[in-house]
Amino acid sequence: VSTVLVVDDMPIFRDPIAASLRLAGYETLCAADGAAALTLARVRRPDVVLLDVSMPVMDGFTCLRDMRRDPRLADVPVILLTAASDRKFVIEAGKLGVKDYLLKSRFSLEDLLARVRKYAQPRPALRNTGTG
Amino acid sequence: MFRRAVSHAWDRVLRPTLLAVGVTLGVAVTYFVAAQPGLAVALPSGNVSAVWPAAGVALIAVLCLGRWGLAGAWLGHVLVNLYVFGRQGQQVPSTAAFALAGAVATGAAAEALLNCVLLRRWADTRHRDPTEFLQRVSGVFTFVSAALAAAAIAAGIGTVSMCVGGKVAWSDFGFTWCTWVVGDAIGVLLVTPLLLPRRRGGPSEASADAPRAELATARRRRRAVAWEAAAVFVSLVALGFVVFELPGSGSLGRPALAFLYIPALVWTALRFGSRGAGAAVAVMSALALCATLTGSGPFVRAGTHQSGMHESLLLLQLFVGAGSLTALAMAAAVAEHRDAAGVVQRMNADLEQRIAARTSELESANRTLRHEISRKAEILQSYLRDMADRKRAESALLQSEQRFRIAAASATDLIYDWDVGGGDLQWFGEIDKYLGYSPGQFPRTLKAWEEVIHPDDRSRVTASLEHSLQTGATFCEEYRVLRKGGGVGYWIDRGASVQPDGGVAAAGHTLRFVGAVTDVTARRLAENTLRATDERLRRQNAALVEVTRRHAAVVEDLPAAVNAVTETAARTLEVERVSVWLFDPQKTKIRCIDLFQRTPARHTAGLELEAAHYPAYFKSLEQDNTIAANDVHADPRTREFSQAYLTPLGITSMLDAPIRVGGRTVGVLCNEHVGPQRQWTVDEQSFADSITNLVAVALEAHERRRAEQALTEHQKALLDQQHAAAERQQHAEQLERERLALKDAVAAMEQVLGVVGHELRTPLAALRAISEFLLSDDARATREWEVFLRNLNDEVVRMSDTVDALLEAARLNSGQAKWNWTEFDLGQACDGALEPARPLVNASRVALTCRVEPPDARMRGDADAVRRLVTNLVTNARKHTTDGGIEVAAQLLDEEVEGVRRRWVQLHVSDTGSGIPPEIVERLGEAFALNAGVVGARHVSGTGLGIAICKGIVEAHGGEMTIDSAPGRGTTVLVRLWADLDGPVKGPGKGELLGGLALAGEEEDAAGNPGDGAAVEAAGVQTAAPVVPAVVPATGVIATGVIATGEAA
Repeated sequence: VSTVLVVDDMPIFRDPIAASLRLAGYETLCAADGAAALTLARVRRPDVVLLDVSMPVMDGFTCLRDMRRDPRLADVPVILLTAASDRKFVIEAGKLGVKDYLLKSRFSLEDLLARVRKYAQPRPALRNTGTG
Repeated sequence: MFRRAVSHAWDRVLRPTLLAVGVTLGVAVTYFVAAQPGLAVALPSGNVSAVWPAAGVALIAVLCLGRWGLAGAWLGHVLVNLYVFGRQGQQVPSTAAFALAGAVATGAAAEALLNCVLLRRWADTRHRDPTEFLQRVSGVFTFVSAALAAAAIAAGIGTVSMCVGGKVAWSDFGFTWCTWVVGDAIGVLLVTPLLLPRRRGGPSEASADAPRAELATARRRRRAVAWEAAAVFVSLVALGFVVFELPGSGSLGRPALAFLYIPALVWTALRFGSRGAGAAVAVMSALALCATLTGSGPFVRAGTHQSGMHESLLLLQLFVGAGSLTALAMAAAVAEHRDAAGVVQRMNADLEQRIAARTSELESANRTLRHEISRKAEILQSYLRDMADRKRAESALLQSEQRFRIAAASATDLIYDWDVGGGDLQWFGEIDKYLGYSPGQFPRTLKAWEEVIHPDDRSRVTASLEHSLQTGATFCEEYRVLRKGGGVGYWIDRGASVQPDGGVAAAGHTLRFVGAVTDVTARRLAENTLRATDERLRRQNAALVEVTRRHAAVVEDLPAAVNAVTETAARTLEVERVSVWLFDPQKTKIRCIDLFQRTPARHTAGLELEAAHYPAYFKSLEQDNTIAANDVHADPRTREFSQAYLTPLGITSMLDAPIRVGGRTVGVLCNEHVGPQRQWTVDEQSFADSITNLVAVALEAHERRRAEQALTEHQKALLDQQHAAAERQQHAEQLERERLALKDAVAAMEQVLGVVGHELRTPLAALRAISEFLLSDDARATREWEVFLRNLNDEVVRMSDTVDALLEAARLNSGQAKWNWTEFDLGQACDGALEPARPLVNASRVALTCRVEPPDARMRGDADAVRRLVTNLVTNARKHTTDGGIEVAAQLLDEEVEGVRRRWVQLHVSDTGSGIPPEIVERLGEAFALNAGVVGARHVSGTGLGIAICKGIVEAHGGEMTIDSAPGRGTTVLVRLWADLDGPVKGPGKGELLGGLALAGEEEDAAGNPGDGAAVEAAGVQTAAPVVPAVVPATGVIATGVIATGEAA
């Protein structure tokens, strides 16, 4: 089962994404900051990381850098969740091998799921066996 | 006519020709005669003589008679030569003989000419009588030298001619030449002194009108001289007989005896001058010649007859020459001495004469001086009596009057004799002339006399005469008489009654009346003129003084000054028109700047006259002359104006004075007289000159003022320019300031927009995520569905609050906030403020306490605003506090402020939270400070609007807010609010609090959303209450995030 790590300090944003991914058949992990995300990722290596940039405690960029230094996490695909103002981090992230990013201002769940699906396949069974 | 022509011809042609021919012939004959002695002692060949007095004749002829004398000499010599040739046996003179004669004669003439020229040159006779050279020693030596030089040349020519002509052998050339030279030179020396004309102006001639005694003395002297001359002559002849052993005794004689002649010659020279010396030498040489020819005397030499004779003659000539030279030199010395003495004597006499003249002059001056001193003393006395010049003039007049009286008493022009009974009035003297009648025309009657008396004087005079007849008193009257043909005469008439026997008549019985009339017309007229002049001068002076005074007052005002001058001139000179004209810069025309006419009195200006039309007038002006034209139509300077100007205006006389400024003629003052012609007097001219100076002064002042004005204007323009530049500079600075302010505002606005984007757009993204999730079909099946729905609602509320806060901050910032000012209970307000926060606080581990003292404290202000203030502060504290407590304390205090008791509220909100870094504390109150300063530090996230709004509220209540915070130590916000204000303190100015936010707020309002704005505004603070819950759950989620996830997992 593909696991997606959702990292965002705003639960109001993070939670519906996580819920949607679960509905789509992914296992989700949630973290409110970079440090928590690193801890989680080391415990359970995710297949994809959705990473917010502006966060307290440890921002997304630091988190990404640390992940790339960790041999076990270096090749985990990362999708950046960014506001328009975080563009410079996108560029920095690109250097660190980040392939994709999503602008929060143009957010769309479908778009998100499509991008996640590029890196990790969901568990179709869940959809099929969805609970009521 | 014919006679005149003849006379003319005689004068111009015939007489000079005859004179020249006569002179030539006379000289020729004289020369021929003078040559005879020479020929007599000529050398055997007959061509050359050791004695040649003719040379002297030739010199005299040339010296005194000029070219015709020269011609005569030449002719004479030709004749002599021809005569010699003839005697030598040539019956018919050949052409060669003629040529030879001519050549020799030319030599002789050349000798005379050269001699004359040399004399004139060497003896410096150019400026004197050429014959005077023998009167000076230097002249004598010059004479001898010239004679020798001339003789040498003549002898040269003559001898060469002779040799060429074959008359003399070339071998004899030297001897012949010597003989010739000596002969000619001695001839000149002998003859010239004898024949030289007498010196003119000699002392003997001056005695023509001398006194008789002097004449007698002179006669006696002449007689003595004659006796002496006779004695000298006798002694000379006697000496000759002794020395030369005459008559021819044949003995050779003793040469030393010849020296005996020296004293005789010296005597002659001393006593009788050069002429006497010449005569003596002539006598001596004649005697010597006779003796020598007869073979006796000291000069006779033995040998062949011919050569011996010749040598003797040469020796003789040398002796004669030496004697002659000695005598002449001596005579000249004497003459010089006499001349010098004469000069000294003349100078002496001249000096004496001058001294005498000077003495008489001095005496005369002395007399004048004495007279002057006495006169001065008189004047001084009258001066002491009176004071000023005028008094002195009066005194002079008085004196003149007195003098006149005296004169009148002694001088009488007419005498009359009136037969009182018969009526005849007999006049002695030229009565007709005095009254302008032809001789005898004036009737000799009393009536006629009475009629000529001036009507104004007549009654007075007849009354006086009557009185005199009645009383026998002397009649004495001065009266005017009317002359025939106009004019008035002044008579002084004195008369008295006389008896037929000659005695003065007794009263009342007069038969005859005799008197004398003195005509004093000239004197009276002169006096009148003097008085008139005096009066005029006084008037001119007064006018000058007055116009100068007026002028001084108005000199700054050119037209006024010129008007004053023209008016004064017109009045003083009594002329009709006075005008001032100024040249244009090129001096091609003059322009009238003021014309004053007396009748009627008015000023005009503007006329122009061109120099091209009136050349004579302008030329005269340029020469700076005052033009005083008594008759303008006749005067060449003003005649040109006659037709166009003078005649139409009736101007008859003009007095034009040039106006000079700085030595330059700049214009003219014209005084134009209308009516009978005027004779401009000197004083009127000088008055006109004086008054032009005032115009000149006014012109100068005018020019100066114009220059000053120009300068002032220039300075003003400069100042204006400087001011304009300064203003531009200020304006530019102002613009720069505004530009910088705008730049700041734009930056602030961009910041605001950024924050708005972050604070509103990010939640919008979340809302979209939630709503999309909820809309999905599967979502409703999940447990989270309801939670997400609530979250959705909460987020919308939070965003609404943010928008409210933004609008409120904008309102506060723009001063448009509306305040509901009341007195309210502080405790209730605080409770109300904490109400929305309390449940959430209760849910956390944070303790929230509130304390109000006194519990019933009341204050004046906007209750809602104060509540919002507390809410915001608590909310902020809550954000930073995760543990410990939040304490709110409000205290009502009062205090004396400037003599007034004031109430105020002190509010503390303190927490035990994380605290705020100092750099952020500094910027609290600026909108969005937290976000702007700590981007990414979401744990202190917030718009910062809360603090900004708090600050606006505090300031509206006249209070202040201080924040004391440090990381890890918690934060305390201390707020002081006045509790007794009647209304809000003027809110923070636009832009001060929120930068460009106010603009954003306005734009938002203007953007067509008034309904929302109004609704938000109406909702006011109430809507601010749910601010806190939006934050608190978030914290909760964070706290539980991992766990929740874990649960999810």
